[in-house]
Amino acid sequence: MIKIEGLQKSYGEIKAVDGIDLEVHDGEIFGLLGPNGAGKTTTISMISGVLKPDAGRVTIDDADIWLEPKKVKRSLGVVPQEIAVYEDLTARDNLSFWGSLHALRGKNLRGRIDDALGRVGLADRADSLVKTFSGGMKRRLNLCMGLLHRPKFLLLDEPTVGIDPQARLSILEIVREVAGAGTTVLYTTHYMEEAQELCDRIAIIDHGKILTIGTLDELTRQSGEGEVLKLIGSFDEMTATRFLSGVPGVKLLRVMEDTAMVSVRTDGPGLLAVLPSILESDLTIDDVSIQKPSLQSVFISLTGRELRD
Amino acid sequence: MRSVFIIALHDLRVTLRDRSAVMWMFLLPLVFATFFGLVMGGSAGAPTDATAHLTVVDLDGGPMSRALLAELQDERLEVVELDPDEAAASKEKIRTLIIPEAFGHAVLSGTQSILRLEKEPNTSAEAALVVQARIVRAATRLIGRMISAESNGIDLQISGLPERSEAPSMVTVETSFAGRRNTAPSGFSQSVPGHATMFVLLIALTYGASGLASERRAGILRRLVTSPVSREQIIAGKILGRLVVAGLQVTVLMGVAAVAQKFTNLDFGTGVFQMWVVLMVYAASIAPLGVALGGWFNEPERAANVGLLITMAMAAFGGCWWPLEFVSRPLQILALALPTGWTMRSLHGLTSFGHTLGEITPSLGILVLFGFLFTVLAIRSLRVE
Repeated sequence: MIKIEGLQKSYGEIKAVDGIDLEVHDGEIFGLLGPNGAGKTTTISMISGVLKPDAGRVTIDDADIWLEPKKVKRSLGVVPQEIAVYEDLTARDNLSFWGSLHALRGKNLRGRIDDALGRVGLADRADSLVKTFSGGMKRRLNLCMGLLHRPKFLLLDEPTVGIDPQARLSILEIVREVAGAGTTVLYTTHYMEEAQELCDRIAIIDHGKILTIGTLDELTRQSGEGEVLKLIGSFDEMTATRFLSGVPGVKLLRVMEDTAMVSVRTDGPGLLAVLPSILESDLTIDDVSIQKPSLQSVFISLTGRELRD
Repeated sequence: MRSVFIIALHDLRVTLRDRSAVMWMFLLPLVFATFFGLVMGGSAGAPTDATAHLTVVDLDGGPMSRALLAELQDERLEVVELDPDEAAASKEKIRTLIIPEAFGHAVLSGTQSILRLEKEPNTSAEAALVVQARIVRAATRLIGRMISAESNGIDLQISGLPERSEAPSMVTVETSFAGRRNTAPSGFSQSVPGHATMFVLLIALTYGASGLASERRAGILRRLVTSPVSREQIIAGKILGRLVVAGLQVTVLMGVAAVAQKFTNLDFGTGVFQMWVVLMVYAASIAPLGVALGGWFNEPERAANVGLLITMAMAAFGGCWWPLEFVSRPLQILALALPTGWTMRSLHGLTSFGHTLGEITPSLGILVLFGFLFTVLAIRSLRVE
């Protein structure tokens, strides 16, 4: 288990991480979701021993990373946000170096390299220079390096940044497989869909603080957000905003020209009561779709802004 | 400790994958050393091995003086014979041997005849000594031939000196210099140590520093910290990596110097191995400076540019480009503030002044102190972020 207690880190006046407490249970995929600058990378850096916290402690399987660094780091696989690979070396050479640092050698190392490359779909490019790889392939190699020594805990810091949807799906699939094999995964992202699809539990972080932690269902229940209605029609933004803000049991999420999104609060009269009052209004609505509550609406309800802000 | 070696050898591998680094490590030092060696005076051969120029003015012109000339031709001398007027007007002459009138008669009659060797001002005293020794050898062989002829019953006054036979000479004269040379290095004895010193520094401070800055920018240093390797091991590995690169460079360059010495008339004084030892100590002293520089700069390009500037300054003021013996006293003192200065001082001691490794140990000790200083700087400057 990864246990974080009262973790703090400041850069001058700026509190990058402001008293974080959380636990990542064995075998789960735990998501740390937040916008850029929320403190995700700083948190990962402190968990992995790169940054020393100003206060608080991190224990992994009851061992403090700063007191027993080598013991802890042997069980950790870290995949940084940067593609931290040697571009002028082959994929195999890169893996060989990192594997050697994890005390792998000889036949065992070669076997692990072949296995890891096969797992991320790069077996046929093992002896190609990394600088000839596409962005997605480099990301997969970056991930592969964190998996090579078969760590008990895998820390992934935004591993899908800047790659195409297909490569992203591939990486998510690999993470699922790794977790399925028993590895505990801590996954930071600012993509709601990733956290929603991948993670067993999610912590939402903003301005260095954990706002809430739970499963997707728990988070949506906590936030009081129900189904999301997407309304498409012929209305202007001001009229729609004025009307929808006044509908009881509804929270306005977003209004754009011809499109509006509202969430139905779980503590209100409910969807069946709300929907007729919207459809019978002066707004010309051509289409209504009903979506399950998402992290987006949870995030908005917690922070008052969209994640991409 | 194993992790330190893994990091160091990995750095060597990464450096050797870079073709431009390989060129700057091995090829360009040889090209520069050869070019400047030739421009700055050519052969670093020992005086005893050098081919020397000799102008001869034969005022006798008899068979005995011609026989002496023939013997001189057998020495490694470029002999140019001129008549007295030509010799007086010639600007090409460096050393001139005057064979006096009635030289042959004096020799055959057993009276003294003086051969005079005139040296032009500001020409090498050592080369003059070489020529003098060779004239003595030629004269001795000539005397040997005379003794041999007389012992065979030939009357030299009547029959003259017989032609030289294929039989070995009766007399062999071996000449070598006793004591130490004390002239400032020139030619290859300056360019080889100078360029080896400069290019080892260049690689450590440009590729060494920019490589580290690149690793930080790419997040590789961060990743390294997350592996089961301590910060101390990372620093030691990075320093050792630069030392391994510099050590390989020094070994290859000195290997080429050793081969050149074996197959040409190049001479590096006390020995190439001793030069290798000095350069290895020097490499160990400057390796941490490359790490420190890589720690100070975030941008690899800036690290390389600053490394280049520092290299040029330390090479120029440390005596890599010209002998420190030629520069003013203040600049000689400035050189003592630089590892390059102490290295060149040690190398000159070996190549030009006949010093042994034992005698230059204090200079090597100073280099070790520089190494400690730069290691402290490296420890303080290495950042992963």
